[in-house]
Amino acid sequence: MLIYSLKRLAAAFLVIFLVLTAIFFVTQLLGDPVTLVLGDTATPTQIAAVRARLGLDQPLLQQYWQFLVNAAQGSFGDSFWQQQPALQIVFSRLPATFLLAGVAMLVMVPIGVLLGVIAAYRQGSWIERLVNVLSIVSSSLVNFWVALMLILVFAVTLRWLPTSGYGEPQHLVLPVATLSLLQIGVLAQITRTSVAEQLQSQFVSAARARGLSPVRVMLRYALRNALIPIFTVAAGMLIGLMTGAVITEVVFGWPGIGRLLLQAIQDGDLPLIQATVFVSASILVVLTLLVDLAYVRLNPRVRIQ
Amino acid sequence: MSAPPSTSAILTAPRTKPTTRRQLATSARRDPLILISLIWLLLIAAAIVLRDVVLPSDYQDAALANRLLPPLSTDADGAFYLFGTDSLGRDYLTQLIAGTTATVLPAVAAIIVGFVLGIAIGSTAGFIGGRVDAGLLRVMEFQVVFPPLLLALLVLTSVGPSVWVLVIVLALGSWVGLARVSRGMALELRELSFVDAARVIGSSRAQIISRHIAPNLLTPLLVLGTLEFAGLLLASAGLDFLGLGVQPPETSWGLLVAKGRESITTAWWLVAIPGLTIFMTTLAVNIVALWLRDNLDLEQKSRILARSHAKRSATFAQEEPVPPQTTNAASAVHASAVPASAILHVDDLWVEFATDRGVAKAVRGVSWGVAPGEVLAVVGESGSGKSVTARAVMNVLERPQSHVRRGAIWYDGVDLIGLDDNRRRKILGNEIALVQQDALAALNPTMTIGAHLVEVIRNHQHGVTKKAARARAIELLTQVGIPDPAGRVDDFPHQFSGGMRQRVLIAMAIANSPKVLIADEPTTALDVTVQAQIVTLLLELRARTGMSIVLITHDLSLVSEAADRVVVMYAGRVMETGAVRDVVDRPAHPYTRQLLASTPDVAAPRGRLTPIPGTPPSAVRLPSGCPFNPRCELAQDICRELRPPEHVVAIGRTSACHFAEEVVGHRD
Repeated sequence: MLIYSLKRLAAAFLVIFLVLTAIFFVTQLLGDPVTLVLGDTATPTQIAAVRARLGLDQPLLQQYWQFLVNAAQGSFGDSFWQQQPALQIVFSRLPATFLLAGVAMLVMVPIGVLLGVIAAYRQGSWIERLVNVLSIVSSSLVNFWVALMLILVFAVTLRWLPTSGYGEPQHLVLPVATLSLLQIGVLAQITRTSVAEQLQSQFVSAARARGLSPVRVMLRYALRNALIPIFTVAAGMLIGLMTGAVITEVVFGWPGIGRLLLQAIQDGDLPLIQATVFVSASILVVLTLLVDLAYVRLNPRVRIQ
Repeated sequence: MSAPPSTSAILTAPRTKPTTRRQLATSARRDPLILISLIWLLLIAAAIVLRDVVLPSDYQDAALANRLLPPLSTDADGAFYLFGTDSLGRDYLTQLIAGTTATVLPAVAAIIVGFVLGIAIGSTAGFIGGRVDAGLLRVMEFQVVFPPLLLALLVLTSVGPSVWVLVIVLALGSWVGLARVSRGMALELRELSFVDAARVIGSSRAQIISRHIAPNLLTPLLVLGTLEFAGLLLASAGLDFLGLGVQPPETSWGLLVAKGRESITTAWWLVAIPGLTIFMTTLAVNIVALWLRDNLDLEQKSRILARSHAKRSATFAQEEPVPPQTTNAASAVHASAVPASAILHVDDLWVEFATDRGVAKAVRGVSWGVAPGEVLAVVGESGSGKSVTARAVMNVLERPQSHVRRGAIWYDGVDLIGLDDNRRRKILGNEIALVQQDALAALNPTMTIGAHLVEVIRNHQHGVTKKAARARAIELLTQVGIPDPAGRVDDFPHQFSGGMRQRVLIAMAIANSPKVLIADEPTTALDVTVQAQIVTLLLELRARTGMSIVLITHDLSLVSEAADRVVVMYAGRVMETGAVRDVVDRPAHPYTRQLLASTPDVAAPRGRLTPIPGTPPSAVRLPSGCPFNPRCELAQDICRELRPPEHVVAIGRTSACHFAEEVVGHRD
């Protein structure tokens, strides 16, 4: 168990290192950051001064090494445009992203799992058909369109909710609804399939033969053993949301890291891009690690080995 | 390479059969959704191919007089705008058609690249194995870990957005899934015989991969690829929307939505229509993917077939003639097969299953009863209906395929079948308990055995605290002979050996001191010494508690050791009943006799082992007359014509054979 955890940890660091390497070399292609910072009107002396300040006069490998060392110390330099440490900017955007991800998961998971469980329990019912339709419809929906249609109906036409913004509970409604509409169907479908499979198993009929109530059999026997695939899908969704739901954040003007990254890329703000990608990748790696450890808790058979 | 025809026939990988094409066509014709999806995709294809023909040369020119006309409106010149006009007064339908190419083609190109890349890498990895495989797996893992959208954003902004970069970025996101699937399948296929055959005749690796492995992957990959294509459509639309995909003056649906967003408050259709088009196209692709999956994937196909047949035959069953209710005379027969004091009494039970080949009558008019403290054995080959009877008693028939067609299950003067579920549950696991055959499968892998025991105790004995139930659980484990019960109560089922698990099941069954314990093949999965221990345990428990045991088994030696009375079943019917000694020594039915002659432990004293010729009949197509007649060594014409009734041959003995008296008298 300890060796397993250590191995996973080592692999996690390797991934972060690889991601850092990828960011460094890909962002080299963005063009000369100095002209981006100073604009076309800068004099050669100004340019040289900035190059020296940013360490850009060094050989590429030297820069790469310096970049890794700085990254290890949590420093990506100042944002070109906002004149403050890039990492600090990214951190200031994290609460918004986490809030959206958390609330969306709290809405999606219970509804999706409940729908799936009912569909599995009542095979051939309208709920099962609804889940089937929902899963194919929601995997065919394009997020920006759903977001804009919700704005069109609930913000522009009915004026019940704000079109965008952050800070009040009502600002959460439309972004959460957008994310939920796109994912609940998938969640319900995976729940339906895996619970239906467990309902066929012998320990379920054995439990029924012991006179246990249908609710208990469903929860402790079928659903409990169907959790692993459901958890995998839900964890994938959470990871996607925590690393920034770019389009949803952009459409609703949500100040999360997804929108920050897009902005940074459009501005050519090198340190900010690097810091954002680094934070996203770290969140992803940490969450993946936690998910793997959670599997062990979900499946007692793994725990022993 | 010129292989002789026979070899090439062996080597030809199984391909799509001609019937598959017909089936695809039929299902498309039957389901309007599939038809509409296919037509929609054809329209999309037409919009791409005929783009230059359809589009007027001035479609990009602004006509400011007609700005933002809503859908279905007419301008001053009488021109009709189905989808209205955009902010430059251009016909929106024309804009949509113009945007089709740039929306769909990048995804098409990307899926082709991803498809080829995925199959190539996946099947290479799977086939070569070893280090190449391990290395490629690492690459795939890293690719999955790296957020695809991040990668797309980075690459697109670094290199500058262009259609080709878009295609590459999309392809990078799509190959991994395809590669994984093809790797897995290549690994499997590598082991198949035709690959071995190819290796024997000296094909090179490249030949093996291209001729034998890749074609076999195509069907599942086609489905996965179609689903991925739908995903790519959405992804490229998203990048277009963010301004990172197709660049103006070229237009795409994603770009149209992005532009429409600026005037969302005044012109809803500019956002709604192109978005809806994206949705409908993706939906059509997804529907087509499911259509392919349901008709190409053999496994899926058979599942669907089974389901539709089950439905059909279930309705069929309603019309089937039901044999008339047993007459008084027949009841009199039952009375002798069923002890007057029976605590559990199965009375003329009929159970049917809907299968893909029709209605299977698994249990046909079975009656037996078990007296208090008695061990009743129900014996028969698999498929004789003995376990189905037990499942019917425990109300765990497979739903929705099977149901009790007729009959009663009397317990304590009440018919369990007529009882509502709530009241029946109070009896099950409490007064009547079941021990199942496969103990590992019968236990919840995510619950400790202590939790299992506490649950069943507290479910039926209200007011017992958790602590008391746990103490009782440990006591039960002691009773069934599990060493160190206090230490093992918190272990999970997989931590026990097969014999110990069976003991756990028995502990659960006796937890609430049942009156009747039904043991369904309790020893089959165990080795011989453990079998004997379990039987001894059951008999001990019977002696101590006075409960009745219904022992369901195919093992005649077990019956002769453990049971007081026996019911022999064949093809869903009772063949003979009687005290164990009588039945074993002087069987009154040829089936019992032949069964005994084929059982080592029981037959051994008599010297020879004779297997029963033939196989039990299918429960869907039963032979006329006596169900055993095709395999019976004594069968006469009457056996093929007339089903022998169950009749009394001696006190406490019945037989369903026309020649029961002769069989009893017969000695060999």
